[in-house]
Amino acid sequence: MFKKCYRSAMTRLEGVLIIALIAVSVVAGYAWYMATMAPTVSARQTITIVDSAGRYVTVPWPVKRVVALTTDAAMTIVALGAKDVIVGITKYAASEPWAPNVTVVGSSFSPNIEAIVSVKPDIVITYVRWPKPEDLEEKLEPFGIKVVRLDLYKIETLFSEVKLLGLLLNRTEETEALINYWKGVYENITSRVSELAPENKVKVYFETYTDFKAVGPGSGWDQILRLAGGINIYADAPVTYPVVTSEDVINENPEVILKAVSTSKFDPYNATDDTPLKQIWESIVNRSGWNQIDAVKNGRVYIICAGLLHDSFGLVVELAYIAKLLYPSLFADLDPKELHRHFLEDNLGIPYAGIWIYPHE
Amino acid sequence: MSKRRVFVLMLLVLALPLIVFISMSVGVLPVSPLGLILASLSPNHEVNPVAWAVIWYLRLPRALMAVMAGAVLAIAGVVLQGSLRNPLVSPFTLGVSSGASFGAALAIVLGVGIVGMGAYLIMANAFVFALLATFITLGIARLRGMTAESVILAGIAVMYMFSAGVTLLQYVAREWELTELVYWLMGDLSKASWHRLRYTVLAVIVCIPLFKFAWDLNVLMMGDDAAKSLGTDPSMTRVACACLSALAVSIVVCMTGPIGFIGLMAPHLARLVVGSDHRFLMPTSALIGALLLSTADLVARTIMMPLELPVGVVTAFFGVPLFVHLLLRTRREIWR
Repeated sequence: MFKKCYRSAMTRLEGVLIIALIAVSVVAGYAWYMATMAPTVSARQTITIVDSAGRYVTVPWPVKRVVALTTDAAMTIVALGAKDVIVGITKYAASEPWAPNVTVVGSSFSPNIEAIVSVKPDIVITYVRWPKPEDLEEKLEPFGIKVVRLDLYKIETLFSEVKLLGLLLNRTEETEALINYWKGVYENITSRVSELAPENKVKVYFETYTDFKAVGPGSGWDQILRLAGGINIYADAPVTYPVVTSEDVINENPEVILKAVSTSKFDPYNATDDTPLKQIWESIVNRSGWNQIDAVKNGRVYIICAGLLHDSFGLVVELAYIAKLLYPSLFADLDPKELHRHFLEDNLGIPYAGIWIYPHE
Repeated sequence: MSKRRVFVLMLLVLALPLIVFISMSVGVLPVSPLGLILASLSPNHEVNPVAWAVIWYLRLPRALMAVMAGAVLAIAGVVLQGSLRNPLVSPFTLGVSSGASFGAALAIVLGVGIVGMGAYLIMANAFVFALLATFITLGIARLRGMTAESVILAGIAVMYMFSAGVTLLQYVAREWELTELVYWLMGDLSKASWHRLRYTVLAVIVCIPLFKFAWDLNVLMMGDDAAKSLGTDPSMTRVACACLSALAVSIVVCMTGPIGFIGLMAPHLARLVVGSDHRFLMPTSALIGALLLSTADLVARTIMMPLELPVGVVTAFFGVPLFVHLLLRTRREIWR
């Protein structure tokens, strides 16, 4: 009996002691936290945004140092007139004529975490799906570097993503101007296309860098063709990049043929001689049996150089080029070359040069 | 064991921590474990938190991953070469890598997996299909009495089947998925983290029982009939070795992707050093495998800094000439 009382008393005493200990350590911990962390926290404003991956991200604001893990992000930041905030760039973007001369941090598929850490960025911008969070966010977490995921390569989300990026960089005015310009061009094209009667739409065969590899649903090219009012003859293919037969293309009888040429085959920006494009063009029109195709008969076979046109606002320029090739009379007043010049000179700050379409008038 | 062998073994044992240390001292940021130790011993104990985080969260897990993955691949290689009596066998002969590749491709391209695990879908899928491939191989081989030839031929058949599956998935993949898949198929250690290291430890643990088979493997090298007369059941040994090594290798491969050549080369290099007694051959192979992969990863990380090469490329590029050199230099027969 006595023993029991004694023990319960001890328990109570122990309980009080433990609570007191916890209270003291919480207060001490809080004081320590305030003393050590508070100054660094209050030193910079932060902003919480929802990125394209649908996650809440709290980042220092305005963002002053960015690692762009995608060409699209780097190009958009340059177009926003904020070239100097880029402190790290991918190996692909680094070779572009508009790229800032900063540290290369690998590629979006194999980023070098140490290289990212070494340039002390406020944020890293990458695609929604790549790299995987366990390869990027998890590894950057010990260094307190935040990741913002923006695609910037899809025309349907481009404008809202650019707006968010402008907000992060505290460049809302430049962003507004840029978006208004390109959105105006985009809506001008798509609204005119939407008035086209289905029977007036042209059938298009689009060939990728590889011979006889067409574009199917889900590919970027297919989407651009649709926005430009073309009917992609392989829009219902079971795969994204179907390999087709010569016979089938002849049978489909497209009214326009477009062929994309990769930058590694032909560097459009630095090109002065169009002979390589001419050779590709001739190899297409001379494919056996293709003289039966309307596009070949009517001289509507075109080569498009993909470099610089496949990222960020370059997509709108590309859309303009293709829309005009498909419907020259509908878009008689549209000047893709002028848009292209504006994009290169006024947005990216590089001289307008090169050969982008063949045959060019 | 001759003095020379002991000497070489000692060298290997010393070289491993050395290469780990060097590997942890090299990178884009000029930080090293030595610098950290010196800083913490200095009067004001000022350790740069970034330096500490780089060493602790980035370089150490990766270095340890290289050591363990290399050791596991090498042990699996030596055990399978021994139990199947064939110098061309590697851990991937049972179809592990092609199964894993197919699983990863399914996850990357179609986003489907046998187990829905979100962020770890690719890893889980690769693991499940690596084991599946092994079981199909062993299942086919069983029908032919689990002879060495039947296991190897079944493995080759399964490998071609899953490779065809990967090719098909590559064909239907979109360009981004294709790029992601190609990166996965090249195999590298950049995914190493403390979290993933736990699974790698598991792979090492799975390898431990294999050491018990060292004597059986020695006997098996003399042929199935001789082994039977000495009391070793060839097909039992084969199944046990194949299952354990496939499990261990699957765990490694599902995290790193298929890193070729280590599992083939390390056992042969070890044979040059200690001969073909599996009691010595197995630990030596493990050491050499760990050393090779650590060195290869060091090269992969630094040769084109800040770009990283996939370590699988490096193991082949630098390993093959070394291997051929050793093979030509040695006078005695190393196999058997």
